Amino acid sequence: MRVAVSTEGSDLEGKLDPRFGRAAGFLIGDLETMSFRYLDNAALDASGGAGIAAAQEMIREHVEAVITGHLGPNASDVMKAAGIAAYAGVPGMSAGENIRLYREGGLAPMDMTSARGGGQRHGRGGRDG
Amino acid sequence: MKIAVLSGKGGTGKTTVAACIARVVPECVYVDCDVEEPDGALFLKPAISEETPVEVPVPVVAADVCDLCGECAAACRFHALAVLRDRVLVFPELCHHCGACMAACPARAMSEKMRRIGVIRSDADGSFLEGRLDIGEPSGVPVIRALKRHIPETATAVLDCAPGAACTVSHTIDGCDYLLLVAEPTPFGRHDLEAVLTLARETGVPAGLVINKAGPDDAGIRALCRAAGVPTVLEIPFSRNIAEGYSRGYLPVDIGFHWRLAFRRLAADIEGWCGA
Repeated sequence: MRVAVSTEGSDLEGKLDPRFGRAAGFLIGDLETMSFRYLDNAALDASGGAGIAAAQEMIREHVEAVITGHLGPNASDVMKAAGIAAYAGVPGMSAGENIRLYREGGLAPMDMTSARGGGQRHGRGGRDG
Repeated sequence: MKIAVLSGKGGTGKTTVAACIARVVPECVYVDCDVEEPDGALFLKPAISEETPVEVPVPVVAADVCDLCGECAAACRFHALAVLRDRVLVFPELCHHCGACMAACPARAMSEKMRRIGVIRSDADGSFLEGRLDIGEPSGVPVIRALKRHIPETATAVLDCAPGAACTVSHTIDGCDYLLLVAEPTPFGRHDLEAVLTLARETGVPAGLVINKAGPDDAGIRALCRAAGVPTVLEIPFSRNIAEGYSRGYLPVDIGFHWRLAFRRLAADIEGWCGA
């Protein structure tokens, strides 16, 4: 299964980055082989739509599940539409430990519906084009 | 002649000053460019006779023609498109209507549809124009562009800007002949004035400072502006009468004849300073 973790560092020892769209980078890899590769977050400096761009990257990398701190409403829309699962990682813990927790079933799935309803949404979310 | 009234800090008196000028100068159009929060109508009380919606184009993807190549999303600088494995998602509120996605699509799967983001309101005799952005829309710039197209080319107009010095303001002042900076003599007022002063200087357009709610201490704003080549052209003292009138929807020119004279003189001076 292909998994991605938002991360502050470039290896499994680095801490989980609680942000998704503005994360420093991602560790992407296979749970079976446990071989992970680091990818800089190209969307980091975007003036807008960073969550969309990062989610697009997950789709391109064939990621099936993302471990991160929180997802903004745009990123949630894209991930939900693409069928990519999201799990709430533990900030302060390393990426490697978060992955271990995930494998043991210790991470909760992220509630992607609440991101849209309550917060300060300016737009109306992604639509089918 | 087009005069823009801007401030930096909100609540310094832009609308007061802009509306006063429009009120006392014959054939002058008041243009409310604070499209997120237009309030000139509260004082000028126009009889609105026409409302024109402002629309912007956003992309539409023909699903039967699209082959999910991803070129549209790659072309979009604003990340307004996401290409999934089975369809393309459009984020209309991120779209800047540039058309790059349409140009980039090799399958010619993209077309445009118009989306309303606001409205232009005007009165019958052309003395009042207001731009209003719909609640929830992130960018007022297209409304400002549409609003400015409604100003007759040869008219004298006063453009009441939004507070601050960001996109909305710079689009409003673009093409104006004179900039009136309205500031209050407080440390906060001075701080925000600095941003607008920089913007004003970058345009190279003649500018003047109006000190509103003036008192014995000007927090250094006179000197700050003088150093930037911006003279102080009017002072409105801190006045309870003015504040009470304001709270009832009356402008200084409505409650004091000397204010009518002062604003008429200011407008005439501005006409001389910008050679219009």
